[in-house]
Amino acid sequence: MSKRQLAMVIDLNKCIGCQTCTVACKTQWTNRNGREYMYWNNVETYPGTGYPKNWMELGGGFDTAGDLQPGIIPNLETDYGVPWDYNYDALLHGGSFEPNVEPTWGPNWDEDEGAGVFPQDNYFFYLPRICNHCTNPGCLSACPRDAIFKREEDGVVLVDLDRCQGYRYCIAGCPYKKIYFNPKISKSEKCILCFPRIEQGLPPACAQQCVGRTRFVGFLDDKDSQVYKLVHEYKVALGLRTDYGTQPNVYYVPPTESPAKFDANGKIIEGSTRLPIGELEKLFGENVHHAIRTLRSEMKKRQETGESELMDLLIAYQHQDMFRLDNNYYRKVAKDKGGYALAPVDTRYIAGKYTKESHTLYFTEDRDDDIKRHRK
Amino acid sequence: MTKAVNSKRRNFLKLSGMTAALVASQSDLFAKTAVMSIENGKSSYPNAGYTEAMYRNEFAFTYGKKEEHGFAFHCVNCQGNCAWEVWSHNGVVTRENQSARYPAVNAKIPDFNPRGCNKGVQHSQVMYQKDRILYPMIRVGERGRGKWKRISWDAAAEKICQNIFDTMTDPDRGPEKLMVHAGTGLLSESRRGSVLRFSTQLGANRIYPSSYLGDMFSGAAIAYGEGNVGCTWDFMYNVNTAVMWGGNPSVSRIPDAHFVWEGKYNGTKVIVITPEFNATAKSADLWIPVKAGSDNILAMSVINVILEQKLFKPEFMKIYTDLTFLVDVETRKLIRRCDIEHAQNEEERHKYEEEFYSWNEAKKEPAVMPGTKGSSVHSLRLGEHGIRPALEGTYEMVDVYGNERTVTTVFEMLKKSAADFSPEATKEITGVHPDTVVQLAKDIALPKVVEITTGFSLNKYFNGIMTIWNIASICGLTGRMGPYGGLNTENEFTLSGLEALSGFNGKYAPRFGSGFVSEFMRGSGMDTFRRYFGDEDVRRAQNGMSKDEYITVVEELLVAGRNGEVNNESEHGSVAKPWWLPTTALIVADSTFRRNKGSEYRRAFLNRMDFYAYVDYRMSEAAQFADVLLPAKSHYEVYDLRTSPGYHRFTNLAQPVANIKNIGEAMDEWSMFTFLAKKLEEIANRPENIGKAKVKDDKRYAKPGYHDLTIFHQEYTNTDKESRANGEARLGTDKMAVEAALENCEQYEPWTMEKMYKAGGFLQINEKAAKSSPLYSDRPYSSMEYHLYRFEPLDTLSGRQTFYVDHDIYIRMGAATNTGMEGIRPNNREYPYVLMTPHARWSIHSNYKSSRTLLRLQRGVPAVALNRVVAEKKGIKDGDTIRVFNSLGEFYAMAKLSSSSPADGLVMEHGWEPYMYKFNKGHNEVVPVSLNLLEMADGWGHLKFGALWDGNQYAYDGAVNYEKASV
Repeated sequence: MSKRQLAMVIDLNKCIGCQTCTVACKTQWTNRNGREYMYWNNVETYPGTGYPKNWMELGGGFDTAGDLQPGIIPNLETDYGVPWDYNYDALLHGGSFEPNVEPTWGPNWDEDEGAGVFPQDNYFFYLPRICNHCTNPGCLSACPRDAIFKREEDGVVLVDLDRCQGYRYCIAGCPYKKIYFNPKISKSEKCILCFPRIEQGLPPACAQQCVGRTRFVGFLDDKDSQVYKLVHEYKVALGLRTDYGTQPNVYYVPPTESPAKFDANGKIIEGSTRLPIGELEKLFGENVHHAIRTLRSEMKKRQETGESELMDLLIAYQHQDMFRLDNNYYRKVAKDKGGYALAPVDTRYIAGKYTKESHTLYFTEDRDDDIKRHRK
Repeated sequence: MTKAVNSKRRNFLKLSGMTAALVASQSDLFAKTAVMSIENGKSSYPNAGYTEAMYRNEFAFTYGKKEEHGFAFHCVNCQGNCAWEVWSHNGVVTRENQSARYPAVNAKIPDFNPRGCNKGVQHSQVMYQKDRILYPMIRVGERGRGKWKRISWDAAAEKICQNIFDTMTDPDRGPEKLMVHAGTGLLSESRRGSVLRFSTQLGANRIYPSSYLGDMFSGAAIAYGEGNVGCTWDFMYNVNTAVMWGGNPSVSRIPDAHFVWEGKYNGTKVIVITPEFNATAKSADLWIPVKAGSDNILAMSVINVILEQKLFKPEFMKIYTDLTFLVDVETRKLIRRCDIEHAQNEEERHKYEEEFYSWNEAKKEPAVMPGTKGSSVHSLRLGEHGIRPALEGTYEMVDVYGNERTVTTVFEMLKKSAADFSPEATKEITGVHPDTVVQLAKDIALPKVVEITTGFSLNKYFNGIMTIWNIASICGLTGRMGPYGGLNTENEFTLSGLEALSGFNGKYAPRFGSGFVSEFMRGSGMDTFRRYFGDEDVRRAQNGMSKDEYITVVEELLVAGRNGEVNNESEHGSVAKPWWLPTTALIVADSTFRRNKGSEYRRAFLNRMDFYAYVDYRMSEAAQFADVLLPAKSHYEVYDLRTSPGYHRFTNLAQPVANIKNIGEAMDEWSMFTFLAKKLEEIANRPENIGKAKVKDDKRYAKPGYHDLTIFHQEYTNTDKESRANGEARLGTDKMAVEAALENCEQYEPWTMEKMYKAGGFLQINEKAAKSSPLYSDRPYSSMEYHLYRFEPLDTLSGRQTFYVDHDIYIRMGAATNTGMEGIRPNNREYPYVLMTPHARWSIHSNYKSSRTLLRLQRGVPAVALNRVVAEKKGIKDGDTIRVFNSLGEFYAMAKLSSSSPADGLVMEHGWEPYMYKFNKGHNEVVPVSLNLLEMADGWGHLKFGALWDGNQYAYDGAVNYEKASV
């Protein structure tokens, strides 16, 4: 176990499927260096095949006895999708504009398609996914080189790019298929929870830049953090496919909102929901019943009384309050390791268990200090 | 075979220059270390530092230096207007991150952060994409064949300005034959001004974008005398019911959608009315799958329920609407004061024409109502005049000729009209169950605050004008205004003083043409119309009028609008939609061949155009067919400002990153048009030209009676004698323009560029931006409070919300008051599907459509969402190429089999450039053009041609079929 665990909560009622997270992640990390095909963050339409294709059926993770399960490494063309390019020159010089590879599969192939009979009971919702930074990572257990680790200070799961030999067992071992092979450097790479941003006071790109304001980031042991409250206090945020046994640290507020169904005559079926509970149970486990009950009753309370702390949390009045990155903690970790602490580039999100709001001022003064130390 | 694989792999691994540098700097990336013993990687790891350093370096590279960051917004036609912090490394932009520093308006209302979307977040990638126009170029082959020669800026300017000069000074052509126009790829307060200024100074023709795009709220204009009504989007957080009618904010209002869902957590009931199931519908409380194009009939059905169940608010209606006004039962004309009283003189007669009566129950006699256009009383207060207007009843009046006139109220007329639209009667045509209509009516009428947001898809149907007018009338009947909600089209704030950039203190005025009519004429729309629509289609859509009669009427109206002549002669404002057919064009950021409907537009346009220059930063379809191409800078390379429209109360700043490296020879528009102005002035002063360089023009467009091209650059930059004497702001570059705007616009006080930069790339506009309501410091904005609380008249003929238009055409169309009308889309078995092309998640019209980053998150080629069941019956599988066709044409696209598409419809995000389709045939090949007489009507009360009252180019009126393609 790492000393502390950083976690993310994603609210699926608020997710609008815009993929700003996906693109923010891409420009931050994966538009280069052999990572072009990778989506460390993706958003899939559920129900659907997902990304990579049918990832839930590709094995990995642990059985109830704790044994690592065999898994399949997805194929670039058929499962991830080739990151096709275009002949932009044709636009200037004539000829037809087209992709260099015929697109047959991609990371958002079944966008908004959903399932069911239109218009009676069809439905869909969005499922954004990053690496779950599991407490018991399948990738880590699968690595024959022991080259995958959890950072001691915050539980972020990283591939050691120094020691990775590109055997790819990790890909088979990860039940979420959130670790990728980089063909350019012949090593595996994955979502790093934007730890370099976090250490300097910026939330992960997918979270800070989420315009639906769906993502909370903080430490699970920080009782003032939204992630603590949503996961442990209200228990409305649940891990995805916890039956894989990896103890994921990305949590989801399950979708509760959908319009009523219609009967064959087009009449509204009062009190019905389009979201099949069986599907939600498959994704989020049995606790989803409790979570949905809590969410519904708090919504009702809010509607009737105007009060509900849970709704206040999920609404998140001020965007900056969605993140508690505890910058003082990271600075202490850095100093304890004998290095120098990077000064925060932003002071809006730095509060945390070991960082009071009043530290903001301290940091601006402290920054020069750090720079001086560094120069020495 | 091996070779093919290799090349694929090479492409797969392709690196940008920037990345290569990054990799090179980390050559130790490939190092291997010796054997290491790992106890438990879950709790501690001895070699963490290597990897951590690598990613930290990479982050540091993209982040660059904070003090070198720029700020920007994307001045495209999403109207989102979001503050972005632009990161850079050594003058090269690396990525963008939302500024996310907008202050909260109220601690109990969600803030506007982190405003942005999936498209804005990747402009950094597109700005270096290979479809950038890098240099000025001249066509050396046939138009559109892709044969270009790179030329100098000077040579390009010479070519363009010589053409402008020749057109202007040719006695047979003149300014009328010149078009200088900025499209919606350039929507900002500062940068756009450069093109508008140039256009206005020349007396050149330009047209209203919202009209030609089909984004004009003509139905709202009828009701309120203002199309842009509604709220800032934070208002949505506190409403009881939010209706998204024809709208899909989770896709096309991405930065603001969170207010809807946070509102839902706060207790809002969210209702979505769209033919397709979409990203907004999926989380709504009630989704109403209305049949495409029948929205106006559904709205009438709601009105029917409101009237039948007496859910309306009579006291509101008596004061704030024209429902009490008296109408002649026989002629269906409103009773005007001039019908009853003799005027003393012409001026009084004109006033009497704009005064109206209600039946005063207090005195049992007709009363002239205060607050109308012609009234000397500029208030809607009735008490002090002793008027208690009757909503209902039939009365007798004696007119000026002594004749008895039987009159009734507008409300009675509305009741009569609405009687035909009971929920049972409309069920078949709207596909909406009667119980649902009743539910909808109650959800709108009963709660305290209800906001009905209309989507831009509604105007894309032939009868969209009726849809929005009917929805406005629902709001009028239920007292929805100001803090109680109402119609939300697109709020706008007041910004004054910006004419300092694009205007000349009235010396020159723009030669505006109608958007939808001009495009109809330029694309020879009547040929398409005649070819496509049948007599029964026209009769269905225009109250029984035959196709022949319709064409006769339309042609008369078109003749009236030719070259704006009839309007020039009119004393009391416009009476027709003016249009010109230019032969020389300078167009900026407008993918005109992509957006115009019908298969003939491009050919017709190019045939008429002797010379056509195009300015943009990317190769659009419009760029491909130009004679001269000029490279513009894009959003991160310029100084600029943007406030509009009014989804929020902030003005964003564009300021480039430090030491930005120029891309090719791109120029910002202010510098570019200043350069062109200089060249035009130089040409005008040449000995052979100087004699004809004062170009005569109508005084409406040039107060002195001429445009003096010999001082063109001086006037453009405000360095001429007159401007200097008046102390006008010097102009000439993008930065100068931003400074001038900040100095001249009082709503921007007291901000400067430095302060904006420090705040995070924006300013908060001050209270003077309030238009029809106060802009409170701690509350969201919602329009028309001054009307509600201060009894200020609206800018309508009646001074009130309009339920009655007695324009002859409206009477003839059976649409003098709200009614339901079927669309013009052919209704036959051969072409049973409607093609819906709503605003896109993945592009802003055609902006960003060619983005590699974004295309990889779609199907990579144009795709159509088909109803799964119907498609399977046709033997079509997901991923198949299909041919969509009708009698006008065809296009090919990839099939997406979806449970979210209706059985009778195809859903396809719009904006694809024709060059992205097989055989270069865009989807507009199957879209017909037409003109609705209700939008052609002009010269009535507040319905006179201008920015408020133009019309719409429709997009959803083609009926299609589809099949598996054999290509």
